[in-house]
Amino acid sequence: MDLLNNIGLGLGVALTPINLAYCFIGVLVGTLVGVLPGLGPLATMAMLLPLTFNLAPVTALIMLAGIYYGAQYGGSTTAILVNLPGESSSVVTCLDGYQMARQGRAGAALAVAALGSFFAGTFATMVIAGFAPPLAEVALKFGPAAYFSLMVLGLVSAVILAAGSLLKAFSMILLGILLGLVGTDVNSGMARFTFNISALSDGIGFVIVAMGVFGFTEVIVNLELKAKREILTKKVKNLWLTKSEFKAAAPAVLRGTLLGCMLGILPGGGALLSSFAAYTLEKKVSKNYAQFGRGAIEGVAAPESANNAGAQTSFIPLLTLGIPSNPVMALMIGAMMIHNIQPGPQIVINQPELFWGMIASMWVGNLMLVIFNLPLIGIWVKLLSVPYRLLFPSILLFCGIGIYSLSYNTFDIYIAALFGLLGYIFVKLECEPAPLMLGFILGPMLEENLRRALLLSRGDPTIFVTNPISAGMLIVAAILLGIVIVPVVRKKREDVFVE
Amino acid sequence: MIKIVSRCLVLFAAIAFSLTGAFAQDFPTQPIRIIVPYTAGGSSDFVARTVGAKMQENIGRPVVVENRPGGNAIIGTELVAKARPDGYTLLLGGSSVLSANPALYKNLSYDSLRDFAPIAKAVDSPIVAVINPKLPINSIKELIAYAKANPGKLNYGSAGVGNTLHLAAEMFCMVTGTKMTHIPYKGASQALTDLLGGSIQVMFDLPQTPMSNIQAGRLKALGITGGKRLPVLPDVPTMAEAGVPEYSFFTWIGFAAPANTPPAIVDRLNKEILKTLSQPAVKDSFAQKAMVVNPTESPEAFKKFIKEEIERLRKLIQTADIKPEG
Repeated sequence: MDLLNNIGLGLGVALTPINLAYCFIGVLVGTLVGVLPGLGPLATMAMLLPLTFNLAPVTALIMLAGIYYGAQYGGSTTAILVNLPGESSSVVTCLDGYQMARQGRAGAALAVAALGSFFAGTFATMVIAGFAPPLAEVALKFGPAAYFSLMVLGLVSAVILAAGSLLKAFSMILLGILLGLVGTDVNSGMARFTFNISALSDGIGFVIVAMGVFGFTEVIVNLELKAKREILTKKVKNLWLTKSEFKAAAPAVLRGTLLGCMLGILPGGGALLSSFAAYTLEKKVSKNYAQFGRGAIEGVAAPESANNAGAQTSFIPLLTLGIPSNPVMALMIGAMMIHNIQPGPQIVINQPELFWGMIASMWVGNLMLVIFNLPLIGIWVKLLSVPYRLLFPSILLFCGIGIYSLSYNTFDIYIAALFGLLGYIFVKLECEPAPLMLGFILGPMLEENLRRALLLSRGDPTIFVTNPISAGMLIVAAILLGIVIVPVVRKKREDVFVE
Repeated sequence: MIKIVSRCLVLFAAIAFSLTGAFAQDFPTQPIRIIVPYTAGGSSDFVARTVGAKMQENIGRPVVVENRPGGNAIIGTELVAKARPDGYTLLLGGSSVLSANPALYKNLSYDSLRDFAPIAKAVDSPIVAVINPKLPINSIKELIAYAKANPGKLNYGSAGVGNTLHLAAEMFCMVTGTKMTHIPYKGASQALTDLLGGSIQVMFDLPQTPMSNIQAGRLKALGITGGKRLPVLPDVPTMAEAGVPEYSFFTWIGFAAPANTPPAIVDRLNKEILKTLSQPAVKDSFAQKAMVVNPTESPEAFKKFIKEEIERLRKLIQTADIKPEG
């Protein structure tokens, strides 16, 4: 079979000693970068780009790709241990992962994150191998109207994301959307809410807000609860998953993977959106609904699988159409250009060993990551037993360095601190940050696509229902909204949380 | 006593003067930073890295590329404008940063002519007109006819209001007397995605971005600006061949240093850059990406060129009424 031949060709390329070595370097660096809050795969890949000049093209790309999906593995570690999202896509993992850590189940959380990510990576690699070109075609069918409706669906599901009062969830989403408006408007070129500060002209960075609202806030809250915290970290249970946890997590991993694969191919989607979507879906679908936000293992398994699957499938538009779906892919294009490779529809035909070699090495990289990360779980968990008075300054220090490394701008650190303070106020008001983050990402995309769709239809709003994909998603969003708003359901939610 | 003092003074003066002269001759003694005001991976970045790598070989000092994206390239540019004028911090400035931004924004935080000492222009890149092949249009003339018959119906994409792609398209409309609707995006690749998908129909883009799709037949290239056909796209006629000789638009990429950098250093950098650009391997590598090595002979010529470009774009922006507020 053709596919098997191609995979064989790919493995032949991926398993050469030099490619294996560089794959390992890539995933190692990626994991470390993912663990460090703030510093992301993009900056690291840019820094290591000159190193790749003297390498063969395949080797260079394997290493760079390894850094990218390695960072997805590493990001979950700090999210689970100290509520600090190392990568923007690990924000959702904070929600249940950190709660699991506080209950002494950090080992299980880390294990499920690693295993879920491995399964997702393997599955996604097979998807790329088998279905890359048709999936790319599907991605192209998503015009602005369809994206708008997808965002609407996303925002409605953001309400489900929250565990508490409906009103508070709505308010946080709205606040998130408003914060997302800061920056330069695409359609008019006008700067909004930037107060003439050039650092704000591209908007407030997502990572900065996430680190402030999750990481810094958690430090403040913990410092307040001094005595209580020492007790929580003492009772660390076993480091592996119990059988029942395994059974609960398995379907979550599968659903997260599928969702991640689908969202990853959409340009602009990728790892970030998939983790939020997977968490929301899992919460709606799982029998363990009540535990979400309190340490439900599905709440870690689903987003972790989704973000890995999304990260891998976001290579599809790059490898098949030559279009980058996010800044990291744009950098990969740059790397290819430096090696005189033209990314696009002809790579599969003109350079099959490059294409299949990269795909095979993605799987090899995932294997390396899971072998490498699982034993480390013990070490990471020991980190929790470090006295907090030593731990929190290190957290703050690494955060500061990480944030600074993004744009070499101290202003960003002030913003993160401000959000840390805001986050503390939210905690006191019992408002959750997760809907805010989702509103923050989705709001601007919603506006951009709404205006673009209306520009294209010359002001005709029926475009949102005449476009079949858009109409479909709006219908699902309406149903979802109905389910959420219906009083009976609302009463049921409040009853559950009155405990 | 006085003799000793005056001898010492003469000695010190001699040393001091020779040092300033020696300063330029010893340059560079430290690593040189090239600031690219875009994220890594684009054409500007590629030019910086290629020229930087060759320069490093020739002068024996590290040449490092730093990406400082943000604020429509203004952040990185400001950085170099305020840097020490010692020749160790350079800007990879292109047409958008040095000539378009000053023409577009009234309150720009830098002045390209006053805050920079231009060193050399490196490459020119032509603009290619691409359309979605589903359109019943096969040539520039047909495009103009279609646009005239359906004013405002065709949608073209750009990477933002005031962006090079926007200006290139507006110039085409101005020169041919047609009207097309502008749809801005956050980046050329996003616009390209919608062009492939069919939401927009036309783009006036740098050839590198849509190149692979043109070669694969997913997009149709109708014409290219400039006097010669590109070796990588031999079937695409020039605008002159296609019947619109008056449409000429180029983007260019060059190097600049902060103002007040000693002229001796600027000249030295100019020579080094021109040396790297003259190497056939470098020329080929750029040609493959649809960039033509076309350096200015001297820093003064480059400065004059930038001035003329600003004027030319100012006229276009006023005529087409492009206003990115803020």
